[in-house]
Amino acid sequence: MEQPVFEGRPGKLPHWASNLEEHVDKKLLIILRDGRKLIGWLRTFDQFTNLLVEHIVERHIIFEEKVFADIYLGTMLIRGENVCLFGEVDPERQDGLTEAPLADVLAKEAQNEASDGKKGMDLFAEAES
Amino acid sequence: MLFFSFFRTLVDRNVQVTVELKNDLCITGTLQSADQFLNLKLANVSVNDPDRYPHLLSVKNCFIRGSVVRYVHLPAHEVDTESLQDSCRREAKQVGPNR
Repeated sequence: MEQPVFEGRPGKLPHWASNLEEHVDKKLLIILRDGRKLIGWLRTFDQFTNLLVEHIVERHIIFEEKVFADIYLGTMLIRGENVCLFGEVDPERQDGLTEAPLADVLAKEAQNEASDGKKGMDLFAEAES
Repeated sequence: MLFFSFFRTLVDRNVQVTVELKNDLCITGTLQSADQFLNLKLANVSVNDPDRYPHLLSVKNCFIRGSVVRYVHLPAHEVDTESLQDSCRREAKQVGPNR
């Protein structure tokens, strides 16, 4: 992939930029503000943390039962303000989860949300200032 | 730029911090880098409180967007308060009294 061009300091990222370049073409687990976990391959980024990610799956995890289910979403541009955090998925680290049928996982998730009283929406809505 | 510089000194010293996010998640790790938006990169992330941890089971290092941070819990002995206060006064002088 071509190196991004920054004027004035050839070969160096501007002082304001975190080096997201090292995460390009890597498989990332991205956590959004609404709690969604997306896994995909990072292709491009910018200073707002807008991310272009390919082959995204939305992973629903039931931690208590150690199961997960994926929904394939394809290629997406994620607007930076929705990004909470992301990390590189390390293939050697086992997370101990097994895949389960999507319908079961979604049903269990809906159950958990109803009993927890947690909303499945933007957890930051009141915190924005 | 004060806290950007401050974070960079912490990065140089490989300080371990716990970042508490606005959605109550808490992540502990070694501060690897920071930028002017106070985005943070943590290495070797681990969990303290399982209820507040976002199931980053297969992730060793992570990038945290500055805008979602509520607190950065620091070890007290790593903070040179006097030096920070001096820098703060200097910056305030540069910016001027009528900002």
